[in-house]
Amino acid sequence: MPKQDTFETEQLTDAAFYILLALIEPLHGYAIMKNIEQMTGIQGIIGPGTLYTLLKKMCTNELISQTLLEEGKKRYALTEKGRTLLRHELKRRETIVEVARRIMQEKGI
Amino acid sequence: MKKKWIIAQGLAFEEEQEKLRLEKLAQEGWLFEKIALSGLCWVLVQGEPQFRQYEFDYLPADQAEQQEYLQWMEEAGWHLAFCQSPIALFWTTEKQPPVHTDAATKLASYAPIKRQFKNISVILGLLLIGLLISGLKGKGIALIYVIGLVFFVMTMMSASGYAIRMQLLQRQLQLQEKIQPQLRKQIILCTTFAHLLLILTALYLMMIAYAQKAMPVGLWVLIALQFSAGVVLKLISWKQLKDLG
Repeated sequence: MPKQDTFETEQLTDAAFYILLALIEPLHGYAIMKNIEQMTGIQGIIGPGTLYTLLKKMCTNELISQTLLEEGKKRYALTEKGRTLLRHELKRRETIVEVARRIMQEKGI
Repeated sequence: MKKKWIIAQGLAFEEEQEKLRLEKLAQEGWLFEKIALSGLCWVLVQGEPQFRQYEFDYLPADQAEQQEYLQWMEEAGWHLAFCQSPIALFWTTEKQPPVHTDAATKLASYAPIKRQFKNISVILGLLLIGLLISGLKGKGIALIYVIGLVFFVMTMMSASGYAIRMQLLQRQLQLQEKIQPQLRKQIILCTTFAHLLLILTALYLMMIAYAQKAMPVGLWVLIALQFSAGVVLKLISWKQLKDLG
């Protein structure tokens, strides 16, 4: 079984990408979900179980950091490592779109 | 208030069907109240027919994380119906996205429950073998043996069911496509029964070897049949897995 708790060797899934994107501004758990729904316009794009597990995994990998708020809630924020990965991932996705656009224009689709 | 007991199907095999069954019953006015007999039965209570979405989930192993997760789910609008660590049942009255929208996190959520069933079944298996070797005899011992065997079979099958669920999710991640629920159920049942038949065959052979008595031919034929059935089922499930891609 592949390692479950590393982002190093794999590409970011859409869900992980959106979470990092949302955390450019520090947010707490529930707000992350709402923020992603707002920015994509898709209701329920990330389930609470998935969000919780990914946040834990991202903390372990130091892509994000957490601070404890007064009411016992946690606020998450992007780290420098997370920022680098986000930029890298954006580039990767841009390349895919550029290649696709060129090919589709050439073939007239 | 009227109550109704229904027998729970094994979650390792019927997680999706159980969820749908509870949702259908809620629409008929039978609402989940609690579990009974260590989770062998669901107790339902009669109320207003209503829309309810249910979802089975598995909590993190760490106690502090469990509390945090429950609070997290409550904030997201999911109420806890019951929790028998690590199994939890959540419900909501509004249509919500699934708790896990990502195959990778769903896969990770099965790890603690699989480990728990696997550990229990290994310990029970070792105890049963120990009891056999100890040479203790008598009616009481025979009863303990039978009860132990029943629990061993149940836990072993659950561990196997969850292990195959995880394997199928892994395959789904590789293939980037969903596996049909019907096919998934078939593969889970087929593989689990194959494992059960093969393990029971090994157990019988051990018992016979230990008894050091000549056994009737009929018994050997039965054991051979059971072994062949196990092998055939294992081959079928192996082929089904291979056909997935």
